[in-house]
Amino acid sequence: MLVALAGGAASSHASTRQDAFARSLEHTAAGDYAAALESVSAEGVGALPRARARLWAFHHAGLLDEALAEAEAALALEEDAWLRERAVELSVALHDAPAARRHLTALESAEDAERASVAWAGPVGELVERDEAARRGERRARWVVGIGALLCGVALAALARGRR
Amino acid sequence: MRRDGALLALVALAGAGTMVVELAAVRLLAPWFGASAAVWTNVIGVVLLALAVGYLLGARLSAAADPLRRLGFVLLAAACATAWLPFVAAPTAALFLPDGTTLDRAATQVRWGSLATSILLFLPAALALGAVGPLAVEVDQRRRARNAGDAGGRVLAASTIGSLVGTFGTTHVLVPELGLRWCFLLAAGVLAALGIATLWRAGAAARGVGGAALLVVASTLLVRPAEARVADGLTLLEARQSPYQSVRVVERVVDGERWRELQVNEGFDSFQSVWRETPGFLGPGYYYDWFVLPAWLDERRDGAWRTCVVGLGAGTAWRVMESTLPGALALDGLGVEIDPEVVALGREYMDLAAAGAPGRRVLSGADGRACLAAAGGGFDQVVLDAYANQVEIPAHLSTVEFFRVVRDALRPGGWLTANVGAFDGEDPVADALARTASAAFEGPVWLVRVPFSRNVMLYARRDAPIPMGDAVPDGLPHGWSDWLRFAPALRRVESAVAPLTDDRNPIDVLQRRSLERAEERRR
Repeated sequence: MLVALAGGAASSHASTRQDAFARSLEHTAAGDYAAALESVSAEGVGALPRARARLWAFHHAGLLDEALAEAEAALALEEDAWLRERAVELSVALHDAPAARRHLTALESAEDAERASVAWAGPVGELVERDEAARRGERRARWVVGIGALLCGVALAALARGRR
Repeated sequence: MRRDGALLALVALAGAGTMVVELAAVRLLAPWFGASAAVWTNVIGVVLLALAVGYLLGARLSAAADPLRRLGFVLLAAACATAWLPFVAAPTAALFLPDGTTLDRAATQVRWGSLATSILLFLPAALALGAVGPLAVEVDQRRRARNAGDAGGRVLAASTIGSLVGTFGTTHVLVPELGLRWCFLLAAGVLAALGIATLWRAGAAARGVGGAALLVVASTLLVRPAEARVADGLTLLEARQSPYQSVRVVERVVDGERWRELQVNEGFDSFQSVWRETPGFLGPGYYYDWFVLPAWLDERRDGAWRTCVVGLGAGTAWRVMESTLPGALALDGLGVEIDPEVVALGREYMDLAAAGAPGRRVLSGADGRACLAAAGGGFDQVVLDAYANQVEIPAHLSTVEFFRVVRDALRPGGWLTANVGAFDGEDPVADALARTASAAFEGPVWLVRVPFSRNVMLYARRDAPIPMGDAVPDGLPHGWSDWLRFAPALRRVESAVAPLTDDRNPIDVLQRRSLERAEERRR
């Protein structure tokens, strides 16, 4: 599916693009990620195939932050269901709840992405809930500290005034 | 005279009780919030604030017709507030650190979470204990008809001596020998006994209150401590309390192969040591594999490969290195691990070499820096993998003075390999450690990201170049030849600007900045 997304080969220009993309995937499969990025750095390779190839390389290299950054940079210019689904996947792997929710919402309105959005709804929902629970915990802690400090301050002031 | 002695002894014991609460408090919070300087500051701050309020409360109560009776009530209140601390710590911490919180998320909540938990847990007991002093001064002054300074000085002296005994006793005897639960229960029992004795002298009507307080304290004996939480899919093999932390070994089966992890405190989604049934490389996501890289980059191919691992844990580094060194190199290992229970569990469950095994020497219960300084030189490699509570880098193992000790322990051409918990090569912690190591080694160092992890490896070398980037040789195992030419995964640092020193080491602040930087990227 990733190879198919590189586009057709109706012209020599498209053929060059397809070769570069395929070479990038081959380099990624072989673990030569530097060559994988180099393969799609030349002019003539479309922005989307370049983004997909680079994301694929970074993802397989285990640099998930960079892979997500590639997806988000490309998605800022043009919507793509495959990139969007990878963005959801990477956000979940990185425990980035806000990004996961944002990308899932976008995926749900993308064409031909219903199956993917349904599949990711569960994991994203769990991640968001855990993140919300953690944020609620932090807010609760700040309230307790504030109220505790206030009560202590009032107690100190009242006790320090002495008996009337 | 006897009554004077009894009163001062009471004050001394109350002072000891205050220190038991304060020192054991940080250990009580450690499973959720660690034991960093921030946590210590929060606990000490809350106790000091509570004492201040308690002093004024005691001053107000001391105006009563019978301050001795009120002293008894205050001691009973302190006993009740102390006895239940080990049992309410977990649900209290859970208010601010819910189930399912990941390790990096939990680390961001240390400041507010530990402060809020300290307020709820320790403020009541410390406040009650703070009232003891002024009441005791009033009792002493009325009895002996002396001036306030005389009474105050005597009481303060007795309280401080008691605090001194409580300080050393808690750290060296109570916590390691009794554990936290019995430590707090002992303190509560002593306070309750003092309270009852004081009320007994004050009058019969208060004995009922004393009995009720004793019941509250004794009821903790009926409560079973909560068992360690283990994630789904894991089997608990053993759990123990060490002088430093709670430790446990869990097991899972992946594709028919057993994997074991040694976890400390709450563990979250992380581990301290890992064991795989099949020796050798652990695979993606495990930084231990990267400890072997220097041997493959080095020129030597036979003889003993002398290593010193600071932060040996249960021996994961050794297990990986033993079967993955190149050529005819054989591992000759010295390992330092501060927690003897971790070593014991490693020997029982993770094939850590037994005491006296040839080519394997473990120094347990010892500090890494001191051992390395005394170990003599000539090491081929020093591995640094020492963390407190999984994320906290010990400050004294991250300074230019320490890295110079490491450098002096290496042979010319020898390697330092350090595991750094960091998000990438530009992470504030990784950057600071790299500059510090570069200053100590007087040359460039390399930061190498570990795929599928939140780890960065730091490589330094004494008086020899490090072949990375364009200079990396072909044919390295584990995909290293390609990885070490992959620019996004590497960062070369050659800078001695503002290294971390023993005198000035803001490693806590840098770790907080690292987490804040990651959090900002999420938003």
